Amino acid sequence: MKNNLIRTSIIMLALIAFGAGVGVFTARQQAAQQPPQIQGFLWPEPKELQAFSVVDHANQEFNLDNIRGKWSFLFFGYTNCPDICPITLAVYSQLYDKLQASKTDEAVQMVFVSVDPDRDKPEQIGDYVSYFNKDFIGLGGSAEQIETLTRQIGIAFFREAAADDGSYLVDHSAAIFLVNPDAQLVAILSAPHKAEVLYDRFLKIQSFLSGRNPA
Amino acid sequence: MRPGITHIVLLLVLPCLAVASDTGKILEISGLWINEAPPVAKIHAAYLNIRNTSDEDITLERIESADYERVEIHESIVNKGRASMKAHDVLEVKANSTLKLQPGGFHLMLFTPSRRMLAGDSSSFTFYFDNHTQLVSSARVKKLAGTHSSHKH
Repeated sequence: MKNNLIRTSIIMLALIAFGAGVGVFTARQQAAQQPPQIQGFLWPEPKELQAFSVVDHANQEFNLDNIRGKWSFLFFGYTNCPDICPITLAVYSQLYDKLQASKTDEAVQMVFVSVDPDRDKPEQIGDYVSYFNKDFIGLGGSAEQIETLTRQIGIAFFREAAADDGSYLVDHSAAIFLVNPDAQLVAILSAPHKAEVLYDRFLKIQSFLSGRNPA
Repeated sequence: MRPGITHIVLLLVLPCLAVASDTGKILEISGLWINEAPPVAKIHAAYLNIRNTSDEDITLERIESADYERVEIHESIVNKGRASMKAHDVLEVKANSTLKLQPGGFHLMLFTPSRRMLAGDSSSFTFYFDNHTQLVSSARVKKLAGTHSSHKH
């Protein structure tokens, strides 16, 4: 009887150990397949952009067709903005350099949209962004045209009261918006912006959405 | 010996010089620089440090520039994702402290440059304080890190 008890205990312990081993193995397999964590900037159900129409520096229409097939970073500002906008576009420039150097197999475009239609004409916007990088895209248009894009993204911009000389400031979003090649608004990247942080987040978002692990 | 005109002038002038040089040591401006802007931009930004070594708060009341029509003091504010700029008529520099005007925060807003300001150029500014101090400082034009030279002139 004593031998039976010992034998039964050994078998029970062996079964428990086996079960624990299976559990650990399974957990490790699941952990290996777990997608990288995004730092709270990713929307679980990305919103697909609807039709919009603005113009580029050559006064040519820029619409959904120009968004599809590429990753697009969008920033909304104005050329008379002396501080936040040039700072952000300088970061844009550093980020773009990193993306180009990484030889990512997906096309990326850096877009600046002026929310100051009264002063920023297409050619001027083009000159402004090309200062930071000749590949950057500057967009503008009438207030109605700009709103076809800003409203669906949820951008608010506000023109402040003019000074005696007619000059005025424009309140605008400080965030950078990320749109994927399927024209889905996938993330909002909050200020303050640093190129290395944006780059890291972009890679993680790419991997998360594609199910791959980052390189 | 009877005091002559020279003596009287010296008696009047010397104390004033002493006061001026004294208050000049109380305040110091350093690191004044202008961010090189795209050619189309007509409003620029300048940044600097203002050091107050006195035991009293001192107020910067106005700034004049040799190369800009107007200079204002502004503060960039990002609140819940919205960027705005707040104008300040004056700027207080607390006693025994250094006030830093830097990108993304307080800055000088420079309106309507009289010439193209390129990296390496210099521009003179005069700062007027409420303790009757005037400080002249030369700003160096620089590019923010990451800004390329791919622009057209």
